[in-house]
Amino acid sequence: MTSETRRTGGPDPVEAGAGERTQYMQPPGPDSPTSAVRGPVPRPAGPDGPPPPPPGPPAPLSPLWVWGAPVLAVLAVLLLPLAAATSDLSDMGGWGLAPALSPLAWVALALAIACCVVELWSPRPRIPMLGAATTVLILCSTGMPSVVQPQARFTTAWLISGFVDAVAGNGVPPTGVDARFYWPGFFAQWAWFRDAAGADQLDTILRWYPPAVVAVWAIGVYALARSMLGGTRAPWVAAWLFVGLNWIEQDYFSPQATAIVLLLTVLTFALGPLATRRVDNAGVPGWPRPHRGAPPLPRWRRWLISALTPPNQPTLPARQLLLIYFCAALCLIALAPTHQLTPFAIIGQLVVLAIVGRFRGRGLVIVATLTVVVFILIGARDFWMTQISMITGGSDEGGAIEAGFFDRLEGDTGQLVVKLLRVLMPGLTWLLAIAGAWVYWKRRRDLVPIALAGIPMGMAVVQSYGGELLLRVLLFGLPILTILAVDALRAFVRVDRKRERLMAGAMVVLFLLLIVIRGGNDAYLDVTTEDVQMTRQAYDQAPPGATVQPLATVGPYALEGVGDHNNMASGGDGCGILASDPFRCIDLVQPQTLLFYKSMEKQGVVLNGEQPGWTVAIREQLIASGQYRATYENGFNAVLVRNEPLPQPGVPAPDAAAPDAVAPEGAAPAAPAPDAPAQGGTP
Amino acid sequence: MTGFALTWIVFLLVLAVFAARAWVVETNRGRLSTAGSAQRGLTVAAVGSVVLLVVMLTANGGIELVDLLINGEATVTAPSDQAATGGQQPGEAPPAPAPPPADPAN
Repeated sequence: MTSETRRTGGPDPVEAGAGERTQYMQPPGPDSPTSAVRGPVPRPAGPDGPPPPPPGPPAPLSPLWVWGAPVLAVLAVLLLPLAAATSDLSDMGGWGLAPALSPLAWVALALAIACCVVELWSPRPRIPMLGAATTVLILCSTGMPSVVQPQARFTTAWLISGFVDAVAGNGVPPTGVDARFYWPGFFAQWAWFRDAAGADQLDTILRWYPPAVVAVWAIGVYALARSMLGGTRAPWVAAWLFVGLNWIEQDYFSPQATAIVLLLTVLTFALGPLATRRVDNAGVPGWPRPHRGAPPLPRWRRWLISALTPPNQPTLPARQLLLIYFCAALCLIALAPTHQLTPFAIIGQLVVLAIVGRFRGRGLVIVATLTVVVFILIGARDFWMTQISMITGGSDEGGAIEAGFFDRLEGDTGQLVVKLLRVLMPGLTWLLAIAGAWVYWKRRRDLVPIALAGIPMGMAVVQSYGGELLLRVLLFGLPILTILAVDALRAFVRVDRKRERLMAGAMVVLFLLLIVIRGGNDAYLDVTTEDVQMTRQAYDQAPPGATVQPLATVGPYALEGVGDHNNMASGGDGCGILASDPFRCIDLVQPQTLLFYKSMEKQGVVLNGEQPGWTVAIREQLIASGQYRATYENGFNAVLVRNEPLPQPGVPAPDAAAPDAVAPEGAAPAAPAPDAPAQGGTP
Repeated sequence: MTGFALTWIVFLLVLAVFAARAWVVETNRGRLSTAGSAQRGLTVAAVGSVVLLVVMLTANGGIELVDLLINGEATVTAPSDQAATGGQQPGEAPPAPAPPPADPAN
């Protein structure tokens, strides 16, 4: 409807004069003079007065809206270095990071939340400012440990850094070390980056990887929410809610973190530019019946119509569509050698979308499926030829649910509270998402989103994967769950706009809980600069091929030497972790170098009910027995080296009880005396 | 090894045929000749290449994998870690260490 045909609501205007009626005009000939065409005649005013004038330029915003969010964001960022300087991380307990944080850190988080809320409440929210506010929010919440801790947390992040180091050596993943080397895409990628940059370690990357990758995830959630929710504010709220509900902490330096980026990229393509919908062009009501008063059709006919109706087509030009196909196929192909589970999650989601006709390019499903099958059958052949039990499950392995939930409910009060909060958060997420699915159904008659969120739960059948499976299942569904939750919250707020204040308060509580939950294990997941330096020094001093083992599998014990120093927890006979039965296991494994970290001590105290000083007692007894000597001691950190010549491959090791045994020819020189001076102080 | 290499080559062939078909389908979208001979031919080629790939996969590992899955056993020839994702995960509790030993002096 153009401005000329729009009615003002009054009676019909008076009939136009004779001169304004439609007239036949002679087509101009080649010699006709140029004639002007008269413009439209203004309509006469109706009985209610003249039509409203067109809207003028928007009124200028109040300085509060113009400068409020930027000032809050700058203040939040400025407080972060002060928070890092004033936080005391030296004695974290069972509650983890939260009690150790400086009040300035909490103020920075509050300012970041205020920045987001102020810009969202602005009459005209600015997209660049919202993006900056989201970045600051991520930095002050997910990135808080990266800010206040000088090194990356998590043993697994350092372990994967060690995998990258192993691949960077000669470009070939070592065999017989760890099952994850059969999916070496991520390790090869970072080994290439490392070599190209001329670096020999990735410590800084490890430290800042979580906030960086969560920022990328948030972009994906924002893009998905724009497609599914529309509007200008709701997609940003979806991104913030995703950050707030992402307690799962699969965002450390790991293959699955990168795989989620690829998954979100493909999903954004499928639900965005490739999105289609079965629309009956003939006007026959499809399924479900859109209006209550519409005449019902037989169910079989509705299903038949729905199935036979071809999806409509995207309006993008062909070249853009082809470029999107190429990028999506590239992501799907890259997923296969990167992570074990993520390809199955995205294939399942694409299959659902293809069945209901929601995206164009169903060949992508075939490409993804064939890629995974080819890679597993050919590329990961050694894996399933030797470790098929990881797929089928063994009789002595606990299920994923048991390992992911029941086995973790232990520790002191702080640990138990944090773990119960981890149980409550997924429940809250699913509750909100189901409410959002109902709102989405009422609004768009669509149940596909909740199906997309539920598809990854099918992977729970792989019970042999271990306790992390539940975390991955939650993570794969979290973007869609978050978007549905935002739809529910939007419907809740639209009832009464005063509820927006309640939502702002809930956002503060959510992010406080996020800090508490994510940092709940930092008492024993914290890694210090001393830990890293001590470990590197231990590897530098270890002879080639010597076994280097940690007392327990925390700390950066495998940041290098993977494949060379038998440093993975691989001892048999219940000795995968030496601390489970320290003296028997140490006698059995006979590590050449034994690593002790403060995190091991904390883990035993806050998680396993050990008495303070238990690692020191083990260390002192090992030294007193003459088996080991300390080459480094400082507090709970220590490096013990075995007092015996190195065993030669193929030659049985000499009996440790026979001090006068003759060392085999070519053996390394005998270790120094046990009373050699240690490099550090004693605890 | 030749079979594996041939399987990878057939897989690349499948990708190439799918790409060519997508090009023909999308660049002809909206025209009257949407189901031309090129599109029909490429559809047949895509189906044929997929069938060929499935045959190659079946011959190069597929039968063995199915056999292993049915029997549920395999000869372990390489050591592995204790779990598919060994190492400490957030919130993961390792086995409880033994209590500290008594004072050696006692």
